[in-house]
Amino acid sequence: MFSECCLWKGRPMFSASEGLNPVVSLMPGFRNTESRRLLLEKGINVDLCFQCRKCASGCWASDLMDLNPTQIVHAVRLGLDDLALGSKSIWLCTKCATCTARCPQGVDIAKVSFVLRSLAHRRGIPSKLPSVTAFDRAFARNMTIFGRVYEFGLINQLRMATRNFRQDSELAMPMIFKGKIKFLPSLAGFFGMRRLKSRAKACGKAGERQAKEGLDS
Amino acid sequence: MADLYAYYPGCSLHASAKEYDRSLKAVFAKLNIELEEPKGWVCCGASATYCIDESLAVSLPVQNLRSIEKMGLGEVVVPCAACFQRLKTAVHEMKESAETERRVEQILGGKYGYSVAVRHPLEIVEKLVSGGAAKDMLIGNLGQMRVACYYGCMLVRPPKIMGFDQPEDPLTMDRLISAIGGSPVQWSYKVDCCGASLTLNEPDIVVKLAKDIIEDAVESGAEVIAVGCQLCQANLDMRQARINAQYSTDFHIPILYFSQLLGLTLGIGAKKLGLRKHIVDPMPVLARYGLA
Repeated sequence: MFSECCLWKGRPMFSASEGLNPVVSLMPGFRNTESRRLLLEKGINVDLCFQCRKCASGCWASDLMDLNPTQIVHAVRLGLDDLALGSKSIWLCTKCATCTARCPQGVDIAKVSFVLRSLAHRRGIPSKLPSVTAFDRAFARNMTIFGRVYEFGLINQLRMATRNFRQDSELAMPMIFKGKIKFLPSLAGFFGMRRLKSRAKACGKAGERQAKEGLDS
Repeated sequence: MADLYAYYPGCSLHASAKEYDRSLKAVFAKLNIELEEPKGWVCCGASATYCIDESLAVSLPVQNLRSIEKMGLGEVVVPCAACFQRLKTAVHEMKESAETERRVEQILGGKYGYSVAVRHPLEIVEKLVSGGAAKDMLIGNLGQMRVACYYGCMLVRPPKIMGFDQPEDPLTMDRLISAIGGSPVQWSYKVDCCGASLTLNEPDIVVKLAKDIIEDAVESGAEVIAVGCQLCQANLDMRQARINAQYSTDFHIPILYFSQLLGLTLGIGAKKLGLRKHIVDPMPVLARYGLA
């Protein structure tokens, strides 16, 4: 009965033979995906977007992106997580937040791309810009080991991860001569960071246990 | 009595951007403001950590703010624009979501009282210098040197969180430069992105962005670009040789911190301001105006 009274473009929304009408399944908000849920938790409602494209026209990276910011937001609205998470755009974003500043609907688009990026990291989705993925990982690792970023170490970590040893080699000498490279790490934040890291780890585990118990009961 | 502020330099001001750290400290000392660094501060996590471990990324800035709170200080000076943004964003996120607040308090093992105001040094010195309080301390002036004031993204955006000046056309630095005798130029790229951290992994993109910024500054008649962020400084300064090679241009425009320009007019020496640490030598331009 339900399927008969809900027609979409002359076809039922659900039918035994065809399953879900593909057009309907692409209506905004129809699919409740993880990215949608995460964004709503952070108070970002992508459904406010009316596609004025101010974000795409202001974005410095629009012409390098496979999906511009408006399209990313739209992909999330339609529940096309695979499209959004697999895009190059989320890795190109530098969070300059021109999009966020100009959005007439108050959607924090820069944060949308960062939430997607962290989701892509978590799921281990192959990145279209592996150097940026490597940078995120190297940076977080470097910082949590030393407490404060050890720049010289970070550069070397990146070179190792991307196997690109000749990149920017022309800058090495001038930087050394100008005293811009500090060869030894600063360890003043070492213990503070270690304390915080172990606490965060313990809290993460407790949270997981809680969630699991909640599911079991 | 001297004013006392907490000082959170951030990682790079102790390494690749030492001249920013040094010039700021010299300027603040001249202006009779004391800066106190919290002991054992940790990295703010920057935006990269946010993508890897979100609760850690919010906890790190708040941990630093808590130790400042414990020092009994109500304001912290944060010169690094990336840290400035992270600190403000973390506080904003704590206030917005009770769940985040609960998680962070659990990680830190205590509450944060939100009593520390995060300030960029630009706001503080601008108020002092153009407000007149420090006017008598200026012993020189820039002699109408044409300066392009470059703010970059992280100082002004996202505007709701940062609350720094007008997001599309900030004028704080322009006012400071006018107050010390410079003439800020009108240009279009003052809040555009320089590519920031992409410089380490996608240099081609940064070279293109830096070229657009420098080109517009030069076309607008600027002789110097003034910045308030060490990532902007590094990208614009270090990439000029490659820009010249790649786009057959001839840019040799010095990229100076606002603190260095202010320091010069306060009579602080070139060495103390770290003017020789830049890749593009600022001395010829400064010598033309009798400043070095």
